[in-house]
Amino acid sequence: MAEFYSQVFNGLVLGLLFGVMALGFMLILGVMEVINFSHGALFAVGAYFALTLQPYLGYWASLAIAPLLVGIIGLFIEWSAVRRVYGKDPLFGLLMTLGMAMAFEEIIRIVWGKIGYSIAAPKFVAGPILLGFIWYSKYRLFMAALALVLLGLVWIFLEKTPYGAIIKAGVSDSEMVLALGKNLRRIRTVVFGLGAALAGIAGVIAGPMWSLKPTMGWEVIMPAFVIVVIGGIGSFWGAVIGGLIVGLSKSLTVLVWPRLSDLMMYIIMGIILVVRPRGIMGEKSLLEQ
Amino acid sequence: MMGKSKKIAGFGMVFLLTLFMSTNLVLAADDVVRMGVISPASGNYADMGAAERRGMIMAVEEFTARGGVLDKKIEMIVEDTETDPSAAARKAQKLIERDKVHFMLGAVSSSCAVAISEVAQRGNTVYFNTNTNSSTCTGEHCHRCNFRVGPNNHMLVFAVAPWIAKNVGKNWYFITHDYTWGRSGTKEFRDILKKEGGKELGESIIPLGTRDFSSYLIKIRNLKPKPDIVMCTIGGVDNTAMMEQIFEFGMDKDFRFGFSLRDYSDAFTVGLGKNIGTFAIEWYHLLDTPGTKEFVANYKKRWPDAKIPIPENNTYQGYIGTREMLRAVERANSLKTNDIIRALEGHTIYDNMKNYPTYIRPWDHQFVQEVYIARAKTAKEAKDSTDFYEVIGFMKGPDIVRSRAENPCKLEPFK
Repeated sequence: MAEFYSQVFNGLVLGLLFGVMALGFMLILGVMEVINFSHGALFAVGAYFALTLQPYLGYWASLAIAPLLVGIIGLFIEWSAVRRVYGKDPLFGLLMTLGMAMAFEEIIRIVWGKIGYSIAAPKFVAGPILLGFIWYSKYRLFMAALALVLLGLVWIFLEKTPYGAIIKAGVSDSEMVLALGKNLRRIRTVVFGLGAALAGIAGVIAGPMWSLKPTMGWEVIMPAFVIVVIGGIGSFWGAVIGGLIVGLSKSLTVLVWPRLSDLMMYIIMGIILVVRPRGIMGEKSLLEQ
Repeated sequence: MMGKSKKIAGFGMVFLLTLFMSTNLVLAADDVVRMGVISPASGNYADMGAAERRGMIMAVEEFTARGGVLDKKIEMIVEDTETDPSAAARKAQKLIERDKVHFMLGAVSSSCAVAISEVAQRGNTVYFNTNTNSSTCTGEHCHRCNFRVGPNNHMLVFAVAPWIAKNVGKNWYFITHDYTWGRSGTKEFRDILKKEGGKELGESIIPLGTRDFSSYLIKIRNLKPKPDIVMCTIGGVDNTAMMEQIFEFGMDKDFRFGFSLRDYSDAFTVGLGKNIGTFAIEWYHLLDTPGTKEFVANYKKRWPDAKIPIPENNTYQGYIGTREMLRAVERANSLKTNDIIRALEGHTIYDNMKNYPTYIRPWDHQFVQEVYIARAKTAKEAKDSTDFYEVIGFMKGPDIVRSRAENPCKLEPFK
């Protein structure tokens, strides 16, 4: 049983990180109806920024500044390109952001080279810790705590501020928000920036765990997409629950049949699509329109 | 409109033709020995490529200081494989057809070496593949023109695994990278375990591109009975990620890990303290073998700014390979491919910076040499910042190499 608890625990920790990764993706999809394939690339850029900044600024400063820079890139992307596809066929946005993702990958190759890097975990959380039933990585515990804080902050922003209320309203009915005289254009830019920053911070957090390489973004985009389909578009808790489900499915499948561990989340997604196409917490679905 | 485009096409043709002819004319001179270096300068193995080229340059400079080879100047023509077999084949073709090299060296990646050696065989040009390990390069894919300077996988596994079975224990768990090299590595480990009468406690098959090993490590942590050692055949960035996570989860303290080969540059990347396990190594700069100290001193003098401050296994092979190629040219007193091959087949190298001589097997062109069994040192044990291994022992080449009956290699007749 010790192994089962250990794997559940590990799955939940991973799930929290997946939740952060998917949240930005979900917000952009919910508000703009754009499937942002550059989300993974922004995740990678965040990790690479941290790699460059950490030797000069230290861990904490780069944890704040790297995502901020990614957020600014997000604002620029939205302002220069993505806003042109709003209201059009979702395929346009998908293709445009897919192209951007490829461009970002090449830019990473040009700037940082093709070789993989590993970022050291900060000293104060290096090494293992005994949690009673399991020897666990201190860094991953720290990571889970950071993810919880981040999720908490986003929840407060969405639920407790007027801006969050407008964004949520935009998710459920953007025409009505416009009709009420809100500046939908600016809201969308802000949401895109926020989503990009969330991708960036997830990259900074995941960097020491997964090591860096130019293609690392692609390993994020599919889980993010799957999580949003499972959890449902437009729901904060959907992203969190979807993340936890994917994290748990990965770690628990290793117990039974390791080769299935990458496939399991797709199987779950398939089941959800059949049983409840809008996702567990979803309020609307692209598929149902 | 038609006229204009025809004109442009005509100009283009003339331009291309001149370009093609001029390169051929320039390179026709024959008072130099042209050595083709085909080695990764970009891609996954760029650093290892740079390391082997440093060794090659040292060997060329030694010959040049003595007046070249066959009284001719040695010219190195370097091409980048990009760690990509199709690019490697294209560049090898360019070296043979356009640059008219007399012989070629380099590779690092086994799949590049297979591609290059096929081109070399077609062009009848001697090729030393350096720093590759896949057994197929001197097995199924062996060629008359192809020689392998380093030990192959079979030699590495048969050096380290029996030692582990005898000295560490016979309850093994396997971590297998889910592709050809990984599966064949575990198969060879498994065969040895069976022969030694050991017990397999299970296997984790790791998909290529896995970055997060936490679930696998937790699974191994909870195994009952606990394995004596976890035998890993896992490569590239996945391997360095795994080593870091083994450390992250404190598994370095309670578990032992075995690997077929450790490249010095991988150990260097991960760093002292996180470098773990028992494994085979091809060569080590702190070996107490004849000539090693001088070689290290020469390297330090020649490359004071190199990222890795000492010659690593890739540098060693680059140096030995180039030196032996040039010596073979001298012995043959000819630059003709068949003469060089005849001077190499069955040749024994005595000053190889190892305990026992290296022998070039005439029927598969494998450099049969000793392989060292080593263990990663902890940060405390290390004597200096380059001291990563404790060499526990070594296996003589003939004891670990595939026999003729086991090796499917059949060389083509001389052209």
